[in-house]
Amino acid sequence: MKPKVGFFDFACCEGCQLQIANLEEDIIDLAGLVDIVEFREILTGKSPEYDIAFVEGSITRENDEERLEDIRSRSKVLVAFGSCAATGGINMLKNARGNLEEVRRDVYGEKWDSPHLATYPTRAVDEIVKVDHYVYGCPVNRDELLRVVEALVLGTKPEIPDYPVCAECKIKENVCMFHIGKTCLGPVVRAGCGAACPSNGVPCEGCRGAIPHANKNAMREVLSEYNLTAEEIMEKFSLFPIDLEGSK
Amino acid sequence: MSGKSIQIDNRHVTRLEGHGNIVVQIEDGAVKKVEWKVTEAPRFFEAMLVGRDWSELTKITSRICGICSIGHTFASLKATEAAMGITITEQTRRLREVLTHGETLQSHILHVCYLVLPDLLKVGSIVSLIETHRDVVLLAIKLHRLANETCDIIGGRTTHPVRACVNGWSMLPQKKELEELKGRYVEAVEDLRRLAEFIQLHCSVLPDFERETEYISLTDPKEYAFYDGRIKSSDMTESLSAEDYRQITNEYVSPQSTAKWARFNRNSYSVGALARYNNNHNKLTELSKSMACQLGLSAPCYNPFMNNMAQVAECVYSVEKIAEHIEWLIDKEFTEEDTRFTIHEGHGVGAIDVPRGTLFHDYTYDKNGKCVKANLVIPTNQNHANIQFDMEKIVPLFKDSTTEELQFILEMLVRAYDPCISCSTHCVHLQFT
Amino acid sequence: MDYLTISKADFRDFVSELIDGDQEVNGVVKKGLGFSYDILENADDLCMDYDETILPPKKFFLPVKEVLLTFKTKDPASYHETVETTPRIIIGIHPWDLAAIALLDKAFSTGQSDVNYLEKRNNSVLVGIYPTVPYKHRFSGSMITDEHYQVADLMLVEIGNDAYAIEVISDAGSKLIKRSRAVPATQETLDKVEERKHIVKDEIVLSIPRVDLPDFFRKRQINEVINRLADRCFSCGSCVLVCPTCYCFHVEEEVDLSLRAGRRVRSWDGCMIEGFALAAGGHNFRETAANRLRHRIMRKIKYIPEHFGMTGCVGCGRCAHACVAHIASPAEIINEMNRSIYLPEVATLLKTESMTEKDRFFEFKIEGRELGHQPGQFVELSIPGVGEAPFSVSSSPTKKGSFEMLIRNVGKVTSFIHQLNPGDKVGIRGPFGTHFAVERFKGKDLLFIAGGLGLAPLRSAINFVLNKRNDYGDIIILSGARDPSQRLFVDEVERWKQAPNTTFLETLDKGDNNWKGNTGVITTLFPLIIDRVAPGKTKAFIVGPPVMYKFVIRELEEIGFDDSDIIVSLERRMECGVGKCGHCQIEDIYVCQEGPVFTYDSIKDLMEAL
Repeated sequence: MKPKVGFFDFACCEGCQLQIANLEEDIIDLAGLVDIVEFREILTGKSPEYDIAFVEGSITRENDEERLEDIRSRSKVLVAFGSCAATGGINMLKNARGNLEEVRRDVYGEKWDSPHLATYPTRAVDEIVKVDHYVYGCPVNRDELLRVVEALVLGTKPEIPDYPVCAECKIKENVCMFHIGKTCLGPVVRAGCGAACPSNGVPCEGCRGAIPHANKNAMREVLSEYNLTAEEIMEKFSLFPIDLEGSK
Repeated sequence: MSGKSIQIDNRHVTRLEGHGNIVVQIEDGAVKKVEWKVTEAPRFFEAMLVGRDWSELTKITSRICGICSIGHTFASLKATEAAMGITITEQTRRLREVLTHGETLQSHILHVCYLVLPDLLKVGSIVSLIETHRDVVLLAIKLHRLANETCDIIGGRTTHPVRACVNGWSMLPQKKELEELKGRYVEAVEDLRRLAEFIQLHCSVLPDFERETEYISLTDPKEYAFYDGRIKSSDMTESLSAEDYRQITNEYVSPQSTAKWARFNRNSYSVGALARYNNNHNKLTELSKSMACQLGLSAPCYNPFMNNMAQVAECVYSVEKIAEHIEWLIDKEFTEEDTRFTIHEGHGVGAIDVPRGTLFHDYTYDKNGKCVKANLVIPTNQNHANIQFDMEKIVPLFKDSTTEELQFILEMLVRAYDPCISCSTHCVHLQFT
Repeated sequence: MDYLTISKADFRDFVSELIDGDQEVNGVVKKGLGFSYDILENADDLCMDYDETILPPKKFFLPVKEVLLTFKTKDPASYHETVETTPRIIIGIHPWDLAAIALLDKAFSTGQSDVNYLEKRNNSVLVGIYPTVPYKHRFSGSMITDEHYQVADLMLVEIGNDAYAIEVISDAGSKLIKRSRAVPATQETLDKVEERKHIVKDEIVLSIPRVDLPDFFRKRQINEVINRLADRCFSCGSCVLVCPTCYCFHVEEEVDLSLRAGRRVRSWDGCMIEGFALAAGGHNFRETAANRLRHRIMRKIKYIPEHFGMTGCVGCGRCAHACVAHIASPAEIINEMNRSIYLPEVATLLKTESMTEKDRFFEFKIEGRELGHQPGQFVELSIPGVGEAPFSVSSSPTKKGSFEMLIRNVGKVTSFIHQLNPGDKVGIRGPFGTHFAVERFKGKDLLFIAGGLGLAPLRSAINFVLNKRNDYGDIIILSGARDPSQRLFVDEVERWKQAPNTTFLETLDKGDNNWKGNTGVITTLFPLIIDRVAPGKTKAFIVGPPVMYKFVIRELEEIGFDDSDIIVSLERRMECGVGKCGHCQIEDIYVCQEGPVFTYDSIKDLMEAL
């Protein structure tokens, strides 16, 4: 019996679900491996229960919580799929503004508090329900996503790296960003993306979040040794949520 | 006299990017309510951009949408470049054009083959087609893969392209990669032809429906516009500069939608492939023009369902343009991009026609290069009102059908617009008139 | 030794001809602002004058990722070996990288042979070259000798006049070079060769001969240099991944989407990555960055030489270049450890305040670096013209930017120290000695017993533990002082009491009218805690006046403590701090080296100890 799999989304760009479509021919093999019973974006279908639920996107309003809790109650395994679900992702920038009313007025003007425009500070999925596994990345890496699916189907624990992006840059023999006058968050950010950005000439911005025991003091010291001011350092860490206290 | 009663409250239409509901009430043969409701969670991107550095805006706005991340990236880069008075090199321009067309191809194939084709063949999803029409699925995948790999190679990553940056490119492609792509594009034209033939044979479910409306798109004197152009309306002879977009977009909050609605010369307008076709069809290449013809398009076309066919014709155009630009890039002696420029305060608008229609990013910067204000107008936003009015016209025509049939027609209608609802719900600054 | 000469132009043509042939030809090429070994498509891409490649040539024989086996999961389940053996020519290898290859050759053929490595290795022809360009991180002159480059088949030396001398080392090399226009070398060339081999000098020189390194490290495996550097370590693995002598790898399964077939794959791994020694069940056998750094250095300078008779570090300097935190170079670590043992460094007094009539609190900073101490260690503080004296460090190493001491005015040096003002400079040597090692006791309950001034060194351990409160169990702190005027760190103690599951009890030998707390010697506090202490899962730390130890230890033994769970810090007359001047000896041990922190069971049989 193939495991029943559902894909769900909340506040997100759907770029992570798109990576399923971007599996190209592998979708056929994937469809042979699991029974995709719900995936609103590409098919019409629902199921009363799932073996594995992939949830993309952050939680940003109360009625999202109900829907999420319902999905959780019907799933054996729930995977936070992509950075928005796993850490809050880019949606966390909304929280950075502080005053949410100001933010809502900015965008919707007088009608800001109409019920259908409700919003509250962005939350990651595990702030509402228990998450069994995390797939990080903005978007998720296709190879990693396949390995996660294979592991879940086999019933084993998916292996996501706990070491920094630097290791992947070295393995790919990239010229280090720091050596070409740029500053990069690679030393404290979780690998698994194949050092996607540094491999393309752009420093790591931390979309996958921090490794479990990131050396935050060393990172601050090193960045200031490369002439960043304290303010600039804070700004670098404020684009994507990078929890240096090591909880995620 | 008692007529039919139909109740549709379709929470979350499927095979759609984003969340939207269709609500219809017909009692005793009388149409009581027809509503297109957008329920996607608003994300407040315009507010997120305020206070951020010029170097970050593109990375943030790329995340508005996964499918058109390339479009958002370029609208954003163009807005910043306009604000800072930067002119990019032709090399960068051509690289951007390849990605733009690559995105068009990827998005249209995804839409027509993965989202719409199941309707044409009356199945639930492309997954069921793997059994019954494996060859067609593989053909669609082949084209989808080609588009994505092109964007991976040129842009560093097809979703949220890493290499595109303000005033340049962070890493140029290798010539041998370009050579390899070139060969594949020759085959792609033939593949598209076969795909179009199949679609042509199976489009009988699309209703013969018409509602005249205004069509808006970018326009260019020399070519069928995507990456750049002035704003054209089918109701006007003169085009407008991209900077005057506000005159056209006129957005307002609707009580049934978290996305805003737009209107210009009529009570709604349409953007997207059909709009581009209606406005610019004579700038298509010979091949794409004849493809459009074959698929039953002839300008002006007021049938929203034909947006799907316009997309297929545009695929052919995109494939040809990509091949042309790749040829140029192969012959070019690459120069390292010098991306430096002087930061100063300024205001700029970036306009681009992405697969779903015209997209505008409008940024204002202070003297330190920090964003003080941002306005984003998303294509799908501009279509919501049109969808509503199309629905209002089409429902009475089908009020004697079964609930299932009517629901099917309405879902196909919404899908035909290829809406990108996640994008459309956090755009826009309210216009006070 | 057969030597030929060839002009650079002819060499270029020779390479071009090889490329046109049917073998894969690899060489050093430019890669962005760096260099790398890659397949040559054009002889003009070859760079013979390069400082260093990002990755070493080991990647040809031990690929970054390699399939060892393919398998089927069913019908029937089975494994099949795969060995990749592309014949290759590799051009441009420096002598130290050849020495590293010689080491890997030995490692992969000693004991059971690693066919995957050896097949590729035996199918390769190596063309080496002596360096023509300096590299600021390189110290190979201190690490390798001239014999190991002879794993190359041909070895080039640039001899000026736009030409190379070529040493033909093997038959394969001889056969290969016959395809070129090389001619036998003249005597004039031969006379120049030795000098030209070493024309590029290293900027970094090791201050200790390589053969003496194992002994040098014997007693100083974890030391303040390693601690301080490891504090900045990201555990990113860059140093070990770019290292030519590292060959650790990780093996894992990859399965196809059909779940029917797959591959077992090995890929590069390294001991500096945090999870390297993590075993199933969650125990990490090398949990701290300091331990990992220690292991890496020891392996390079001791374990590998002892095991294989060859150096484990070839001095290429790639690690130093790759390390963003600038902590990786073995040469810099060794030279830093070997700086003069008697020469103090300058430290500045930042802050001082009186705590009791005779005890004063001091905060110092060494310019440009952290002290790098562990709780329980001591430093030697110098006042030029007055003298030098040992003091335990009172602040936790988790407090950055400065370190603190509590100093009692009892003599010549201390009375002078008490007159210092902020901004004044002193000399600091150290840190010295063993430490409380609390980080080894995660999950355990901790009992700190401080008599009088003993609270000062214990404060270092207490604040260290409170910094990561959740890593430890219950904490009890007992403190005894003579009278109210002798109480130390009064405000801070209040903060300690606020920490979760943390108890602070104090007693005074003699109270006053306002004193509402306990009176009596410190052992009078034991009845108050006896119900809460679980001897099997508690570690006890005692620091206080000499007379206190016997009584406290007796109480602990009565509760049920094992002598190995009782940890003491002993004071002796420390002068040199490095185990030479002789004053701190207890029988045959030097307290400054093997103490001052001891487990009770290691000293209980020493007559002079307590």
